[in-house]
Amino acid sequence: MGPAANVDLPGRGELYSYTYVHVPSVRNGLPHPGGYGIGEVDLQDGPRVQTVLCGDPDSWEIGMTVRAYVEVVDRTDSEDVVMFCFGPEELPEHA
Amino acid sequence: MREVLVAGTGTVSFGRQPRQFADVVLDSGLAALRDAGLGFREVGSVHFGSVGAPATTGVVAAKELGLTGVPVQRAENASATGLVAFRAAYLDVASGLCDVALAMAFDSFDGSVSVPTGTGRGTPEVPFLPAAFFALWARRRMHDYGTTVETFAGIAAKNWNHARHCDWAQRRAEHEVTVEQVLSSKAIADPHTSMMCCAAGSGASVVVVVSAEYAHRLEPRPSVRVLASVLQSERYTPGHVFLGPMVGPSQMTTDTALEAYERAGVGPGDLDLVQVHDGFPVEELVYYELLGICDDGEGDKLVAEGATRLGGRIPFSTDGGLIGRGHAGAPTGLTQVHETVKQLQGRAGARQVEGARVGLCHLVGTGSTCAVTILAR
Repeated sequence: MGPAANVDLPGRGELYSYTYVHVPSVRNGLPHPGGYGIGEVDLQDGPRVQTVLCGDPDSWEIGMTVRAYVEVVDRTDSEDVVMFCFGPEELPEHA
Repeated sequence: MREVLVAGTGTVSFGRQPRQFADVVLDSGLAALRDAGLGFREVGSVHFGSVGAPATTGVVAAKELGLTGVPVQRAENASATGLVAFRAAYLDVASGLCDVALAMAFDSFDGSVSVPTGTGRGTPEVPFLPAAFFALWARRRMHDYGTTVETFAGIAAKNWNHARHCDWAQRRAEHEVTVEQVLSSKAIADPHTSMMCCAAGSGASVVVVVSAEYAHRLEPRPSVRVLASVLQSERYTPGHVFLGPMVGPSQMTTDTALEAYERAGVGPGDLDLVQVHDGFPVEELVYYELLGICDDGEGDKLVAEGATRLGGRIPFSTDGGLIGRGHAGAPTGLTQVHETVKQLQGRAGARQVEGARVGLCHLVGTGSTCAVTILAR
């Protein structure tokens, strides 16, 4: 066991499992219309992480390669509020 | 360690409560004491389990039963809370600390019962809906073992139908629930539909345990023995997810059950009935295997054969489980004990498992922990 240190994690991994949640999420205290995907991703040579999924839910498959995207979830006058999500290598139009 | 027996149990009906906090804890407490045939002044220790109640609620609840100076302690480990309170009461008697100990539990997940003190809810931070977290288990199970959504729906329908015969169940369907009905209910998080998700409600349950020496003074003499009551937390395994998961690696259930079997001197083949944390059907399915009822990957077959329904080889979730009886947080574990004791005493009515001698109760709790208790007559 060595001392703890920060490491950079790869932005790609393999989709371990996923689901599409039909219950609306809540943003800024208000229900956000529609559902959302979540999953677990085995990062290349890294740990397994939980994440929001993006892209077409029909394109998600266990074992597929996914990569990290940054999604803007809210905008204020001065800044964007962003979160990471994972999705297929190619997104037709990144939402 | 001394032998410990269950002397009495009591519970109120799960679901929305028309009454106040004081009434539900008093009713469940008095029911358990009456069932045991003893008074609160005999009680040497109280362990109060609650997931969502504010600080000091345990002391407030125990005061409803009397002001005797008895030590009162709060127990909390999320969904495993009821069995954790039970274990603490068991240990106090087994160790010789006292002859009579009380495990109490209360929660109000639907908010119908407000607690008179405190402010914070203090629930652990969980980013995903439970239905979504366990959907990840379900989807992976389908990928690895070819499990079908019909198997998940079959387990849910079974537990709904068990609950039809249970007085304290939250969901009591008028007609036999079918697989088709479960599948056509509202989509929540694929592959989960609303009828596959456990029912969140309110409840209160109490169990009294006494020493064997003390049991001789009671009439009728208690006959249900505590063979083991075990608690473990998660340990690292490859693929461990550090942030976010509601419960840790499934290995936790195997490890906790093995310790319980060892302490109890029984094995999975000796069990006559089992209660588990069936928050979602995939959980009950994997617990068949993790508790050693069948081999890895053989759980689907048990469902197809009907082995785990009432009348089957090894009935699971006999009062409806979390899916049918409901999940009220802390009371869930003690109601598992309540149901198991009724079964071992031959007092389970339409749900009676013929000749039941040994029963196991299992819960997992966010954080995460696993609690297993084995009872026998």
